[in-house]
Amino acid sequence: MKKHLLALTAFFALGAGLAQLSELPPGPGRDLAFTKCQQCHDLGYVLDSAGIDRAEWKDLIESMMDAGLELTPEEFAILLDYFSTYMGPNPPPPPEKVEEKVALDVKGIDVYTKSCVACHGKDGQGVPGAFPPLANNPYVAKDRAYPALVVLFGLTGPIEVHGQTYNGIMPSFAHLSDAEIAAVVEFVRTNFNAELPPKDFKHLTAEEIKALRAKKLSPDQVRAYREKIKVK
Amino acid sequence: MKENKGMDRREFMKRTGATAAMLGLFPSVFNVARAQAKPTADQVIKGKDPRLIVHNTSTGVLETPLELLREHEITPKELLYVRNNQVLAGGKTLEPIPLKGWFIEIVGLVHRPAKIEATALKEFPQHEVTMVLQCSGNGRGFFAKYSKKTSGTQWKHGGMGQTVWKGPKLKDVLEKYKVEVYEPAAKFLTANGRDEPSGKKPDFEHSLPWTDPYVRENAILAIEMNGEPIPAVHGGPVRLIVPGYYGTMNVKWVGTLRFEAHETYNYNQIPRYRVPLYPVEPGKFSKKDYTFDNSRPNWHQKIKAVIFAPLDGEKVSAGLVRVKGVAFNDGVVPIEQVQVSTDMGKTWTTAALKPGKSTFEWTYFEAPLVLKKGEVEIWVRAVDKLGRAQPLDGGIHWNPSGYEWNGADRIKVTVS
Repeated sequence: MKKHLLALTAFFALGAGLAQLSELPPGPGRDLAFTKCQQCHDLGYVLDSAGIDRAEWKDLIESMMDAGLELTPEEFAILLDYFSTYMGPNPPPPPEKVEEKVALDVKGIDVYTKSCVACHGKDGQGVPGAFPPLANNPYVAKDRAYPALVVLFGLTGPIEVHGQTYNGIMPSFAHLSDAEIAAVVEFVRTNFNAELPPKDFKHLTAEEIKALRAKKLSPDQVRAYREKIKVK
Repeated sequence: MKENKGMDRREFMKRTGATAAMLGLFPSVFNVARAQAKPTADQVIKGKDPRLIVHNTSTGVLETPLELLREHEITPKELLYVRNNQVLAGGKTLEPIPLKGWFIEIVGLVHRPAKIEATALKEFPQHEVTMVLQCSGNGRGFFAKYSKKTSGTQWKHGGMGQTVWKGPKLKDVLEKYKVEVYEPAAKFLTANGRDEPSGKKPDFEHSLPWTDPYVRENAILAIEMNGEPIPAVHGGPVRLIVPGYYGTMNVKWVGTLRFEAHETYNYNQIPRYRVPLYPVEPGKFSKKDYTFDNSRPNWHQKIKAVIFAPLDGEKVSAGLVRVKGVAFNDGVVPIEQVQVSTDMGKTWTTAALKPGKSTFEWTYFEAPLVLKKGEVEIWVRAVDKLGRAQPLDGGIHWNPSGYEWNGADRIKVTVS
């Protein structure tokens, strides 16, 4: 038994020279991972586990479901395939240059359904005390750059919406393309905040998102930006 | 909510038609910048040193690099590691929380359950203990190096610190309020904090064995850390402190203490925070295989030595090299010996020891070695007075969540 254990130990030691991942590798299922995992914790925990095998990924996802993660059987299969393939013991080599085709006819509603609805709700109503509403939210309506900055860089620290305090963590969704961010912000501003458009309402463009992305703000700086917005 | 709520795709497309048209003007393929600026430790938890390693920003998981840890006999609050599963609202700061208005309930298998305001804890005789506080996942990353990787934060050695805690003993509080524990029915003390889980996660709580004199006699309801009110992120205003136990059992933000006949079935007691009672083959035993009978919680800390100098990968000059570091265990007995080897364990020399005032503290060790040029591996292992020693191959204690790493510390240095 002991000999067997030692042999196994030596075997696994060979595969241990894994490079530390700093972001989720490209692959089908990555967007779902971004959305589902970041509901409770940031991606550090996921990246730290890179290199474990399929059985352990299954174990890990199931333990997250014990801890409250909700997945349909299809989503479970997608995540398991994604993690065990692209973050397993023998992941495919990363592409030389990450050049991704970005569809430009993205629909805000699709991005919203994929990335936002889990926390902010299908009508943008949020969850009182946990996830702030996006609907009829003067900060979202008033300043077109602000919601884009929140999506790009995340937001931490206490904020108040309609007299209710929120002290959660909005993760960064910088993995979305410029066009996707422009589309989803437009969707939220026009669909959930039709009553509140400022007089100088202008539509956001992907090019503007690109410029905002270059600012590289911290979540704290995004909150500082929010505090300067004057709402009645 | 107004009539604009809901997701009518046609209506949406009509309103945003202008956007779609504008988007069409841009080239169809371009690179997507995906870099996310990672927040530093001071942004994750107010007051922390920005040089700490950030493992997780949402609940706050920070590791102390050894080059900072080794600079202080008592780890300053700014440098102390953090591991939170969930956080008290407003708790991600080093600022304290007032004792006033904070209540602790003592319930379960007891006569006369009590509800105590934390301010009353100041009126008791105060006990101070200096001790190693260590995350039970500390060293998890070494399972990947020497055995088989497990999921979870890949801690090196910096999920620990030396800390000073002060407060009344739990047994004194029980006595004062005449909370009489039903003996011998009450076998476990279960502590639950006032922190709340996010979403549908189960709440965080742990059970400790009330049958263990190290719990009964030593447990403190701490109200101070390092001579100040406990920083919120480290479990203030009141934290259960049981010297010698892994950090996770030192439950933060104590709100309820329950005396029970069985340890809690909470997900954080089983399958999390447990190790198998007997060796298991890596990958052949999963979290789902845990039962109360084949495993135990992360209670008493295992014996461990950590090299503080030189550091792994460091370049040193040939000749005299002083190998220094700390050793500790669960405090039941002192550290007997720390041994050092530079020939992969064939021969060992004994280091000089400087024990702390109590057995719960770090025992400092130092061994002068003469090193020749080349790549040298330095191995260190500790033995205590009960003969408990570190395995040369820590991978032998592989477990599915990678807890309680205590393999002999092995570092590689370049001697030139």
